[in-house]
Amino acid sequence: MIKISQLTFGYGKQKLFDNLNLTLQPGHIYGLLGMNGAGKSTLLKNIAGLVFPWAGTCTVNGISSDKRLPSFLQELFFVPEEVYLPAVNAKQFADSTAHFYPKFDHGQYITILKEFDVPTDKLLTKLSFGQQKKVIIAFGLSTNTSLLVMDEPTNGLDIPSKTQFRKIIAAALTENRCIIISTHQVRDLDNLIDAVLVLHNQQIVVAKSLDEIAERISFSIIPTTGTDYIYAEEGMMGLNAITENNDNSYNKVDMELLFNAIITNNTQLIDILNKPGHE
Amino acid sequence: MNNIFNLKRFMLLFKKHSLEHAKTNLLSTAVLAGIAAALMGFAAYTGGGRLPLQLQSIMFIYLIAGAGGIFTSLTFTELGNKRKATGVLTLPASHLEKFLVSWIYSYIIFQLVLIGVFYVVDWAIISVSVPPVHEPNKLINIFDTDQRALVGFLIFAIFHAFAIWGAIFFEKMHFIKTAFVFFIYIIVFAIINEPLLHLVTGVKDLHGVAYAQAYYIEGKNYWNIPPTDSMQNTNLVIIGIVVVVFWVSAFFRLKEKEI
Repeated sequence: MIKISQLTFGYGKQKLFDNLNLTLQPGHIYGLLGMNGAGKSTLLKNIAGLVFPWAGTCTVNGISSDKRLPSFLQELFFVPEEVYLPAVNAKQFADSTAHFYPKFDHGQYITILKEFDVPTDKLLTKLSFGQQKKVIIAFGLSTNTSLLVMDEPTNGLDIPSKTQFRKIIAAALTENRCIIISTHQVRDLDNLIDAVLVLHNQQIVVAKSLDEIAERISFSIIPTTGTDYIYAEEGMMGLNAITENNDNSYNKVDMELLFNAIITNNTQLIDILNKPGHE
Repeated sequence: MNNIFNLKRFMLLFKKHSLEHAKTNLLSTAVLAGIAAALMGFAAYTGGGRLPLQLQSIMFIYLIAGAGGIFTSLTFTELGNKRKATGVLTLPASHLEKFLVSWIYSYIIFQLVLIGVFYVVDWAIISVSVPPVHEPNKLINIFDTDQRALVGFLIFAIFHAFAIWGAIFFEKMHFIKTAFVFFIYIIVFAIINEPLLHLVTGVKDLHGVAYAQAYYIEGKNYWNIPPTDSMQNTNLVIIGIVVVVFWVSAFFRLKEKEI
Protein backbone atom coordinates (compact mmCIF):
# COMPACT_ATOMS: atom_id res chain seq x y z
CA MET A 1 0.00 0.00 0.00
CA ILE A 2 2.42 2.72 1.24
CA LYS A 3 6.11 2.10 0.88
CA ILE A 4 8.59 4.73 2.00
CA SER A 5 12.21 3.85 1.30
CA GLN A 6 15.29 5.71 2.45
CA LEU A 7 13.33 8.96 2.68
CA THR A 8 15.42 12.02 3.40
CA PHE A 9 13.68 15.36 3.62
CA GLY A 10 13.89 18.69 5.38
CA TYR A 11 13.33 22.40 5.05
CA GLY A 12 16.25 24.66 4.18
CA LYS A 13 19.27 23.18 5.89
CA GLN A 14 17.27 21.44 8.62
CA LYS A 15 16.88 17.74 7.97
CA LEU A 16 13.64 16.27 9.30
CA PHE A 17 13.96 12.68 8.05
CA ASP A 18 17.14 10.76 7.45
CA ASN A 19 16.80 7.52 5.47
CA LEU A 20 13.35 6.90 6.91
CA ASN A 21 11.69 3.59 6.01
CA LEU A 22 8.07 2.66 6.51
CA THR A 23 5.56 0.21 5.07
CA LEU A 24 1.85 0.47 5.75
CA GLN A 25 -0.88 -2.00 4.84
CA PRO A 26 -4.60 -1.60 4.12
CA GLY A 27 -7.17 -2.63 6.71
CA HIS A 28 -5.56 -0.61 9.50
CA ILE A 29 -5.99 2.72 11.26
CA TYR A 30 -2.54 4.01 12.01
CA GLY A 31 -1.92 6.65 14.66
CA LEU A 32 1.10 8.79 13.84
CA LEU A 33 2.59 10.22 17.02
CA GLY A 34 5.46 12.61 17.46
CA MET A 35 6.52 15.65 19.39
CA ASN A 36 5.84 19.14 18.09
CA GLY A 37 8.19 19.77 15.19
CA ALA A 38 9.08 16.09 14.77
CA GLY A 39 7.73 16.19 11.23
CA LYS A 40 4.36 14.41 11.45
CA SER A 41 2.64 16.82 9.06
CA THR A 42 5.66 16.80 6.77
CA LEU A 43 5.66 13.01 6.60
CA LEU A 44 1.98 13.10 5.66
CA LYS A 45 2.74 15.74 3.03
CA ASN A 46 5.41 13.48 1.57
CA ILE A 47 2.88 10.66 1.37
CA ALA A 48 0.31 12.97 -0.28
CA GLY A 49 2.83 14.39 -2.77
CA LEU A 50 2.64 17.91 -1.39
CA VAL A 51 6.40 18.01 -0.83
CA PHE A 52 9.08 16.04 -2.66
CA PRO A 53 11.77 13.87 -1.07
CA TRP A 54 15.37 15.08 -1.13
CA ALA A 55 16.32 11.46 -1.52
CA GLY A 56 14.48 8.15 -1.40
CA THR A 57 11.02 7.27 -2.60
CA CYS A 58 7.47 7.36 -1.38
CA THR A 59 4.92 5.27 -3.25
CA VAL A 60 1.24 4.59 -2.73
CA ASN A 61 -0.13 1.52 -4.51
CA GLY A 62 3.08 1.48 -6.52
CA ILE A 63 2.70 5.07 -7.79
CA SER A 64 5.25 7.67 -6.80
CA SER A 65 3.60 10.39 -4.68
CA ASP A 66 5.61 13.29 -6.08
CA LYS A 67 4.13 12.86 -9.57
CA ARG A 68 0.66 13.76 -8.22
CA LEU A 69 -0.98 11.79 -11.03
CA PRO A 70 -4.80 11.78 -11.14
CA SER A 71 -4.78 7.95 -10.80
CA PHE A 72 -2.84 8.41 -7.53
CA LEU A 73 -4.86 11.36 -6.26
CA GLN A 74 -8.25 9.73 -6.80
CA GLU A 75 -7.22 7.01 -4.36
CA LEU A 76 -6.02 9.44 -1.70
CA PHE A 77 -7.80 12.01 0.40
CA PHE A 78 -5.87 14.39 2.62
CA VAL A 79 -7.56 16.15 5.52
CA PRO A 80 -5.22 19.01 6.44
CA GLU A 81 -4.92 20.49 9.91
CA GLU A 82 -6.21 23.83 8.68
CA VAL A 83 -8.99 23.47 6.18
CA TYR A 84 -10.14 25.80 3.45
CA LEU A 85 -13.56 25.46 1.90
CA PRO A 86 -15.09 27.55 -0.87
CA ALA A 87 -18.15 29.79 -0.52
CA VAL A 88 -20.66 27.09 -1.43
CA ASN A 89 -22.83 24.86 0.75
CA ALA A 90 -21.97 21.27 1.67
CA LYS A 91 -24.22 19.80 -1.04
CA GLN A 92 -22.83 22.07 -3.74
CA PHE A 93 -19.31 21.24 -2.62
CA ALA A 94 -20.02 17.53 -3.07
CA ASP A 95 -21.76 18.17 -6.42
CA SER A 96 -18.71 19.96 -7.80
CA THR A 97 -15.96 17.86 -6.24
CA ALA A 98 -17.26 14.32 -5.71
CA HIS A 99 -17.00 13.48 -9.45
CA PHE A 100 -13.23 13.36 -9.10
CA TYR A 101 -13.49 10.40 -6.71
CA PRO A 102 -14.97 7.35 -8.47
CA LYS A 103 -16.05 5.63 -5.23
CA PHE A 104 -17.69 8.67 -3.66
CA ASP A 105 -20.89 7.80 -1.78
CA HIS A 106 -23.34 10.75 -1.57
CA GLY A 107 -25.62 8.88 0.86
CA GLN A 108 -22.71 8.23 3.20
CA TYR A 109 -21.71 11.93 3.00
CA ILE A 110 -25.17 13.16 3.99
CA THR A 111 -25.43 10.55 6.76
CA ILE A 112 -22.08 11.55 8.29
CA LEU A 113 -22.96 15.24 8.07
CA LYS A 114 -26.22 14.49 9.89
CA GLU A 115 -24.35 12.50 12.55
CA PHE A 116 -21.99 15.44 12.97
CA ASP A 117 -25.00 17.78 13.06
CA VAL A 118 -23.66 20.00 10.25
CA PRO A 119 -26.22 21.91 8.14
CA THR A 120 -26.01 21.02 4.43
CA ASP A 121 -27.59 24.19 3.09
CA LYS A 122 -25.42 26.79 4.82
CA LEU A 123 -22.42 28.38 3.12
CA LEU A 124 -19.29 26.52 4.20
CA THR A 125 -17.47 29.80 4.77
CA LYS A 126 -20.12 30.74 7.35
CA LEU A 127 -19.57 27.57 9.39
CA SER A 128 -17.34 27.47 12.47
CA PHE A 129 -13.83 26.03 12.18
CA GLY A 130 -14.96 22.81 13.92
CA GLN A 131 -17.93 22.43 11.57
CA GLN A 132 -15.76 23.05 8.53
CA LYS A 133 -13.45 20.34 9.78
CA LYS A 134 -16.40 17.99 10.13
CA VAL A 135 -17.43 18.70 6.53
CA ILE A 136 -14.00 17.87 5.17
CA ILE A 137 -13.78 14.74 7.36
CA ALA A 138 -17.24 13.64 6.14
CA PHE A 139 -16.23 14.32 2.55
CA GLY A 140 -12.92 12.49 2.96
CA LEU A 141 -14.60 9.42 4.44
CA SER A 142 -17.23 9.40 1.70
CA THR A 143 -14.64 9.45 -1.08
CA ASN A 144 -13.87 5.85 -0.06
CA THR A 145 -10.32 6.29 -1.28
CA SER A 146 -7.96 3.46 -0.41
CA LEU A 147 -5.84 5.90 1.57
CA LEU A 148 -7.22 8.51 3.93
CA VAL A 149 -4.68 10.79 5.55
CA MET A 150 -5.74 13.06 8.39
CA ASP A 151 -3.48 15.65 9.96
CA GLU A 152 -4.61 16.57 13.47
CA PRO A 153 -8.29 15.92 12.61
CA THR A 154 -9.52 16.36 16.16
CA ASN A 155 -8.14 19.90 16.51
CA GLY A 156 -11.14 22.18 16.69
CA LEU A 157 -13.62 19.42 17.55
CA ASP A 158 -15.51 19.64 20.83
CA ILE A 159 -15.56 16.67 23.23
CA PRO A 160 -18.85 15.08 22.00
CA SER A 161 -17.64 15.49 18.42
CA LYS A 162 -14.38 13.71 19.23
CA THR A 163 -16.35 10.73 20.50
CA GLN A 164 -18.50 10.80 17.38
CA PHE A 165 -15.38 11.13 15.24
CA ARG A 166 -13.95 7.92 16.73
CA LYS A 167 -17.19 6.03 16.04
CA ILE A 168 -17.47 7.29 12.45
CA ILE A 169 -13.84 6.54 11.62
CA ALA A 170 -14.02 3.06 13.08
CA ALA A 171 -17.13 2.36 10.99
CA ALA A 172 -15.48 3.63 7.83
CA LEU A 173 -12.55 1.23 7.95
CA THR A 174 -12.64 -1.60 5.42
CA GLU A 175 -10.05 -4.24 4.60
CA ASN A 176 -9.11 -2.29 1.45
CA ARG A 177 -8.65 1.00 3.19
CA CYS A 178 -5.74 2.46 5.09
CA ILE A 179 -6.29 5.40 7.43
CA ILE A 180 -3.47 7.45 8.92
CA ILE A 181 -4.22 9.91 11.69
CA SER A 182 -1.55 12.20 13.04
CA THR A 183 -1.99 13.86 16.38
CA HIS A 184 -0.10 15.18 19.35
CA GLN A 185 -3.15 14.59 21.51
CA VAL A 186 -2.59 10.92 22.17
CA ARG A 187 -5.82 10.49 24.16
CA ASP A 188 -7.86 11.34 21.06
CA LEU A 189 -6.74 8.10 19.46
CA ASP A 190 -7.79 5.86 22.35
CA ASN A 191 -10.01 3.00 21.20
CA LEU A 192 -9.62 4.11 17.61
CA ILE A 193 -6.30 3.09 16.12
CA ASP A 194 -5.02 -0.44 15.81
CA ALA A 195 -1.40 0.41 15.01
CA VAL A 196 0.95 3.08 16.18
CA LEU A 197 3.77 4.90 14.39
CA VAL A 198 6.14 7.00 16.46
CA LEU A 199 8.24 9.58 14.67
CA HIS A 200 11.28 10.61 16.66
CA ASN A 201 14.86 11.65 15.91
CA GLN A 202 14.28 11.77 12.13
CA GLN A 203 13.08 8.14 12.08
CA ILE A 204 10.00 6.03 12.60
CA VAL A 205 11.26 4.41 15.79
CA VAL A 206 8.18 2.28 16.37
CA ALA A 207 5.70 0.98 13.80
CA LYS A 208 3.70 -1.76 15.48
CA SER A 209 0.12 -2.89 15.94
CA LEU A 210 -1.30 -2.38 19.41
CA ASP A 211 -1.64 -6.17 19.73
CA GLU A 212 2.06 -6.64 19.06
CA ILE A 213 2.95 -3.95 21.56
CA ALA A 214 0.70 -5.49 24.20
CA GLU A 215 2.30 -8.87 23.58
CA ARG A 216 5.74 -7.50 24.34
CA ILE A 217 5.18 -5.02 27.13
CA SER A 218 2.75 -4.54 30.00
CA PHE A 219 1.27 -1.37 31.38
CA SER A 220 0.49 -1.49 35.07
CA ILE A 221 0.62 0.39 38.35
CA ILE A 222 3.41 -0.73 40.62
CA PRO A 223 4.46 0.44 44.08
CA THR A 224 6.58 3.54 44.22
CA THR A 225 9.37 1.46 45.65
CA GLY A 226 9.40 -0.82 42.59
CA THR A 227 12.46 -0.82 40.38
CA ASP A 228 11.79 -3.64 37.94
CA TYR A 229 10.41 -1.60 35.07
CA ILE A 230 11.50 -0.31 31.68
CA TYR A 231 9.91 3.08 32.15
CA ALA A 232 7.74 4.61 34.85
CA GLU A 233 6.00 7.84 35.74
CA GLU A 234 4.64 8.86 39.10
CA GLY A 235 0.88 8.50 39.38
CA MET A 236 -1.85 8.90 42.00
CA MET A 237 -1.79 5.21 42.98
CA GLY A 238 1.91 4.49 42.58
CA LEU A 239 4.11 4.25 39.52
CA ASN A 240 2.53 3.95 36.08
CA ALA A 241 5.05 1.53 34.67
CA ILE A 242 5.96 -0.26 31.52
CA THR A 243 7.39 -3.70 32.11
CA GLU A 244 8.31 -6.56 29.83
CA ASN A 245 5.33 -8.86 29.19
CA ASN A 246 6.93 -12.18 29.94
CA ASP A 247 3.76 -14.17 30.60
CA ASN A 248 1.80 -12.99 27.53
CA SER A 249 -0.92 -11.57 29.74
CA TYR A 250 -3.54 -9.37 28.10
CA ASN A 251 -3.27 -5.66 28.83
CA LYS A 252 -4.36 -2.40 27.26
CA VAL A 253 -1.71 -0.17 25.72
CA ASP A 254 -1.38 3.16 27.50
CA MET A 255 -0.37 5.24 24.49
CA GLU A 256 0.53 8.33 26.44
CA LEU A 257 2.90 6.37 28.67
CA LEU A 258 4.32 4.52 25.68
CA PHE A 259 4.86 7.75 23.79
CA ASN A 260 6.51 9.46 26.76
CA ALA A 261 8.83 6.48 27.19
CA ILE A 262 9.88 6.53 23.54
CA ILE A 263 10.57 10.26 23.36
CA THR A 264 12.87 9.99 26.36
CA ASN A 265 15.02 7.82 24.10
CA ASN A 266 14.39 4.69 26.14
CA THR A 267 16.48 2.35 24.01
CA GLN A 268 15.60 -0.71 26.08
CA LEU A 269 11.92 -0.23 25.28
CA ILE A 270 12.55 0.51 21.60
CA ASP A 271 14.74 -2.58 21.32
CA ILE A 272 12.08 -4.79 22.91
CA LEU A 273 9.41 -3.45 20.60
CA ASN A 274 11.54 -3.83 17.49
CA LYS A 275 13.09 -7.16 18.41
CA PRO A 276 12.63 -9.55 15.49
CA GLY A 277 10.88 -12.86 15.89
CA HIS A 278 7.65 -11.63 17.44
CA GLU A 279 5.95 -10.80 14.14
CA MET B 1 -6.56 6.16 -17.21
CA ASN B 2 -5.05 9.14 -19.01
CA ASN B 3 -2.95 10.92 -16.42
CA ILE B 4 -2.09 13.88 -18.66
CA PHE B 5 -5.36 15.09 -20.13
CA ASN B 6 -8.90 13.81 -19.99
CA LEU B 7 -11.64 15.96 -21.52
CA LYS B 8 -14.34 14.84 -19.10
CA ARG B 9 -12.13 15.53 -16.10
CA PHE B 10 -11.12 18.87 -17.59
CA MET B 11 -14.77 19.88 -18.05
CA LEU B 12 -15.55 18.89 -14.45
CA LEU B 13 -12.62 20.95 -13.24
CA PHE B 14 -13.72 23.90 -15.35
CA LYS B 15 -17.23 23.63 -13.89
CA LYS B 16 -15.87 23.42 -10.33
CA HIS B 17 -13.61 26.41 -10.88
CA SER B 18 -16.47 28.42 -12.41
CA LEU B 19 -18.83 27.64 -9.53
CA GLU B 20 -16.31 28.39 -6.79
CA HIS B 21 -15.00 31.60 -8.39
CA ALA B 22 -18.30 32.92 -9.77
CA LYS B 23 -18.78 35.53 -7.06
CA THR B 24 -15.19 36.83 -7.24
CA ASN B 25 -15.26 36.95 -11.04
CA LEU B 26 -18.58 38.83 -11.11
CA LEU B 27 -17.28 41.35 -8.60
CA SER B 28 -14.06 41.76 -10.61
CA THR B 29 -16.13 42.42 -13.75
CA ALA B 30 -18.13 45.06 -11.92
CA VAL B 31 -14.92 46.72 -10.68
CA LEU B 32 -13.49 46.63 -14.22
CA ALA B 33 -16.63 48.29 -15.57
CA GLY B 34 -16.42 50.93 -12.84
CA ILE B 35 -12.77 51.73 -13.61
CA ALA B 36 -13.47 51.83 -17.37
CA ALA B 37 -16.44 54.15 -16.82
CA ALA B 38 -14.41 56.42 -14.54
CA LEU B 39 -11.47 56.62 -16.98
CA MET B 40 -13.47 57.17 -20.14
CA GLY B 41 -16.07 59.36 -18.45
CA PHE B 42 -13.33 61.61 -17.07
CA ALA B 43 -11.60 61.75 -20.48
CA ALA B 44 -14.85 62.68 -22.24
CA TYR B 45 -15.75 65.25 -19.56
CA THR B 46 -12.37 67.01 -19.66
CA GLY B 47 -12.37 66.84 -23.47
CA GLY B 48 -15.62 68.79 -23.70
CA GLY B 49 -17.60 65.70 -24.67
CA ARG B 50 -15.03 64.55 -27.21
CA LEU B 51 -13.78 60.97 -27.07
CA PRO B 52 -11.61 60.61 -30.18
CA LEU B 53 -10.66 57.21 -31.56
CA GLN B 54 -7.02 57.61 -30.48
CA LEU B 55 -8.12 58.23 -26.89
CA GLN B 56 -10.47 55.22 -26.95
CA SER B 57 -7.56 53.21 -28.27
CA ILE B 58 -5.27 54.33 -25.43
CA MET B 59 -7.98 53.61 -22.87
CA PHE B 60 -8.37 50.11 -24.25
CA ILE B 61 -4.62 49.48 -24.04
CA TYR B 62 -4.48 50.76 -20.43
CA LEU B 63 -7.41 48.59 -19.42
CA ILE B 64 -6.30 45.36 -21.04
CA ALA B 65 -2.70 45.72 -19.82
CA GLY B 66 -3.43 47.02 -16.31
CA ALA B 67 -6.51 45.01 -15.40
CA GLY B 68 -5.17 41.96 -17.24
CA GLY B 69 -1.91 42.01 -15.32
CA ILE B 70 -3.66 42.31 -11.97
CA PHE B 71 -6.33 39.69 -12.78
CA THR B 72 -3.74 37.18 -14.01
CA SER B 73 -1.60 37.73 -10.91
CA LEU B 74 -4.58 36.68 -8.81
CA THR B 75 -5.16 33.49 -10.81
CA PHE B 76 -3.04 31.15 -8.73
CA THR B 77 -3.27 32.95 -5.38
CA GLU B 78 -4.53 29.68 -3.88
CA LEU B 79 -1.05 28.23 -4.26
CA GLY B 80 0.42 30.94 -2.04
CA ASN B 81 -1.95 29.99 0.77
CA LYS B 82 -1.15 26.60 2.30
CA ARG B 83 -4.74 26.00 3.38
CA LYS B 84 -6.03 26.55 -0.13
CA ALA B 85 -3.09 24.97 -1.94
CA THR B 86 -3.65 21.58 -0.30
CA GLY B 87 -7.10 21.31 -1.86
CA VAL B 88 -5.89 22.46 -5.26
CA LEU B 89 -2.84 20.21 -5.45
CA THR B 90 -4.51 17.05 -4.12
CA LEU B 91 -7.60 17.36 -6.32
CA PRO B 92 -7.55 14.38 -8.70
CA ALA B 93 -6.89 16.24 -11.95
CA SER B 94 -3.66 16.55 -13.90
CA HIS B 95 -1.36 19.54 -13.67
CA LEU B 96 -2.10 20.29 -17.32
CA GLU B 97 -5.84 20.38 -16.68
CA LYS B 98 -5.38 22.63 -13.64
CA PHE B 99 -3.10 24.96 -15.56
CA LEU B 100 -5.36 25.09 -18.61
CA VAL B 101 -8.45 26.02 -16.59
CA SER B 102 -6.62 28.97 -15.06
CA TRP B 103 -5.03 29.88 -18.39
CA ILE B 104 -8.39 29.88 -20.17
CA TYR B 105 -9.97 32.02 -17.47
CA SER B 106 -7.10 34.51 -17.23
CA TYR B 107 -6.29 34.73 -20.94
CA ILE B 108 -9.26 33.86 -23.12
CA ILE B 109 -12.26 34.61 -20.91
CA PHE B 110 -10.65 37.74 -19.47
CA GLN B 111 -10.14 39.23 -22.95
CA LEU B 112 -13.71 38.38 -24.01
CA VAL B 113 -15.11 39.95 -20.85
CA LEU B 114 -12.85 42.98 -21.17
CA ILE B 115 -13.87 43.60 -24.79
CA GLY B 116 -17.54 43.27 -23.81
CA VAL B 117 -17.18 45.61 -20.83
CA PHE B 118 -15.13 48.09 -22.85
CA TYR B 119 -17.71 48.33 -25.63
CA VAL B 120 -20.67 48.62 -23.26
CA VAL B 121 -18.96 51.39 -21.27
CA ASP B 122 -17.56 53.10 -24.38
CA TRP B 123 -20.96 53.04 -26.06
CA ALA B 124 -22.64 54.37 -22.91
CA ILE B 125 -20.13 57.23 -22.53
CA ILE B 126 -20.41 58.16 -26.20
CA SER B 127 -24.21 58.04 -25.98
CA VAL B 128 -24.39 60.48 -23.09
CA SER B 129 -21.52 62.75 -24.22
CA VAL B 130 -22.32 65.94 -26.07
CA PRO B 131 -19.33 66.68 -28.33
CA PRO B 132 -19.09 69.71 -30.63
CA VAL B 133 -21.45 69.25 -33.63
CA HIS B 134 -18.59 69.13 -36.15
CA GLU B 135 -16.66 66.50 -34.14
CA PRO B 136 -19.11 63.66 -33.42
CA ASN B 137 -17.78 60.71 -31.43
CA LYS B 138 -17.43 57.36 -33.16
CA LEU B 139 -17.23 53.95 -31.53
CA ILE B 140 -13.77 52.45 -32.08
CA ASN B 141 -13.21 49.17 -33.87
CA ILE B 142 -10.42 47.71 -31.74
CA PHE B 143 -9.56 45.22 -34.50
CA ASP B 144 -8.99 47.99 -37.07
CA THR B 145 -5.33 47.81 -38.07
CA ASP B 146 -5.25 51.61 -38.47
CA GLN B 147 -5.84 51.99 -34.73
CA ARG B 148 -3.23 51.23 -32.07
CA ALA B 149 -5.70 49.26 -29.94
CA LEU B 150 -4.41 46.03 -31.42
CA VAL B 151 -1.10 46.68 -29.65
CA GLY B 152 -3.04 46.15 -26.42
CA PHE B 153 -3.45 42.45 -27.24
CA LEU B 154 0.29 42.10 -27.73
CA ILE B 155 1.09 43.94 -24.49
CA PHE B 156 -1.46 41.85 -22.63
CA ALA B 157 0.06 38.61 -23.96
CA ILE B 158 3.45 39.68 -22.55
CA PHE B 159 1.96 40.85 -19.25
CA HIS B 160 -0.10 37.68 -18.98
CA ALA B 161 2.92 35.44 -19.53
CA PHE B 162 4.92 37.25 -16.83
CA ALA B 163 1.97 37.51 -14.46
CA ILE B 164 0.92 33.85 -14.62
CA TRP B 165 4.52 32.80 -14.05
CA GLY B 166 4.80 35.19 -11.08
CA ALA B 167 1.45 34.04 -9.71
CA ILE B 168 2.82 30.50 -9.35
CA PHE B 169 6.41 31.40 -8.55
CA PHE B 170 5.76 33.87 -5.74
CA GLU B 171 3.81 32.92 -2.64
CA LYS B 172 2.63 36.37 -1.60
CA MET B 173 2.14 39.81 -3.16
CA HIS B 174 2.22 38.20 -6.60
CA PHE B 175 1.39 41.32 -8.60
CA ILE B 176 3.88 43.62 -6.87
CA LYS B 177 6.73 41.09 -6.97
CA THR B 178 6.06 40.16 -10.61
CA ALA B 179 5.88 43.81 -11.63
CA PHE B 180 9.14 44.44 -9.78
CA VAL B 181 10.90 41.58 -11.61
CA PHE B 182 9.41 42.76 -14.91
CA PHE B 183 10.70 46.31 -14.47
CA ILE B 184 14.12 45.08 -13.37
CA TYR B 185 14.19 43.03 -16.59
CA ILE B 186 13.21 46.09 -18.67
CA ILE B 187 15.87 48.26 -16.98
CA VAL B 188 18.62 45.67 -17.41
CA PHE B 189 17.58 45.13 -21.01
CA ALA B 190 17.63 48.87 -21.72
CA ILE B 191 21.08 49.22 -20.11
CA ILE B 192 22.71 46.35 -22.00
CA ASN B 193 20.97 47.12 -25.28
CA GLU B 194 23.26 49.97 -26.34
CA PRO B 195 26.63 48.35 -25.51
CA LEU B 196 25.34 45.29 -27.35
CA LEU B 197 24.44 47.47 -30.35
CA HIS B 198 27.94 48.99 -30.37
CA LEU B 199 29.51 45.55 -30.07
CA VAL B 200 27.51 44.17 -33.00
CA THR B 201 27.84 47.18 -35.34
CA GLY B 202 31.10 48.74 -34.17
CA VAL B 203 29.50 52.18 -34.58
CA LYS B 204 29.84 54.41 -31.50
CA ASP B 205 27.21 56.99 -32.41
CA LEU B 206 24.51 54.45 -33.01
CA HIS B 207 21.79 54.42 -30.36
CA GLY B 208 18.68 52.35 -30.07
CA VAL B 209 15.51 51.34 -28.30
CA ALA B 210 15.10 47.60 -27.98
CA TYR B 211 12.42 46.06 -30.20
CA ALA B 212 11.65 49.50 -31.72
CA GLN B 213 14.28 51.44 -33.67
CA ALA B 214 17.88 52.61 -33.93
CA TYR B 215 19.11 56.14 -34.57
CA TYR B 216 22.41 57.61 -35.62
CA ILE B 217 23.65 60.97 -34.33
CA GLU B 218 26.54 62.83 -35.92
CA GLY B 219 26.99 66.36 -34.64
CA LYS B 220 23.67 68.05 -35.10
CA ASN B 221 22.45 65.50 -37.63
CA TYR B 222 20.00 62.79 -36.62
CA TRP B 223 19.08 59.77 -38.74
CA ASN B 224 16.24 57.49 -37.70
CA ILE B 225 16.66 53.86 -38.73
CA PRO B 226 13.23 52.18 -38.38
CA PRO B 227 12.99 48.41 -38.47
CA THR B 228 12.01 46.85 -41.77
CA ASP B 229 8.79 44.88 -42.09
CA SER B 230 10.67 41.61 -41.82
CA MET B 231 12.44 42.86 -38.66
CA GLN B 232 9.09 43.80 -37.15
CA ASN B 233 7.83 40.34 -37.94
CA THR B 234 10.94 38.88 -36.30
CA ASN B 235 10.19 41.00 -33.22
CA LEU B 236 6.68 39.61 -33.08
CA VAL B 237 8.01 36.06 -33.38
CA ILE B 238 10.55 36.69 -30.58
CA ILE B 239 7.83 38.15 -28.35
CA GLY B 240 5.62 35.17 -29.17
CA ILE B 241 8.41 32.76 -28.22
CA VAL B 242 9.06 34.62 -24.94
CA VAL B 243 5.35 34.50 -24.09
CA VAL B 244 5.13 30.76 -24.77
CA VAL B 245 8.35 30.10 -22.84
CA PHE B 246 6.89 31.86 -19.79
CA TRP B 247 3.61 29.95 -20.10
CA VAL B 248 5.47 26.64 -20.30
CA SER B 249 7.74 27.69 -17.45
CA ALA B 250 4.66 28.54 -15.34
CA PHE B 251 3.20 25.10 -16.08
CA PHE B 252 6.36 23.31 -14.94
CA ARG B 253 6.49 25.52 -11.87
CA LEU B 254 2.97 24.29 -11.04
CA LYS B 255 4.12 20.68 -11.47
CA GLU B 256 6.96 21.29 -9.05
CA LYS B 257 4.93 23.27 -6.54
CA GLU B 258 5.42 22.21 -2.93
CA ILE B 259 3.65 23.56 0.13
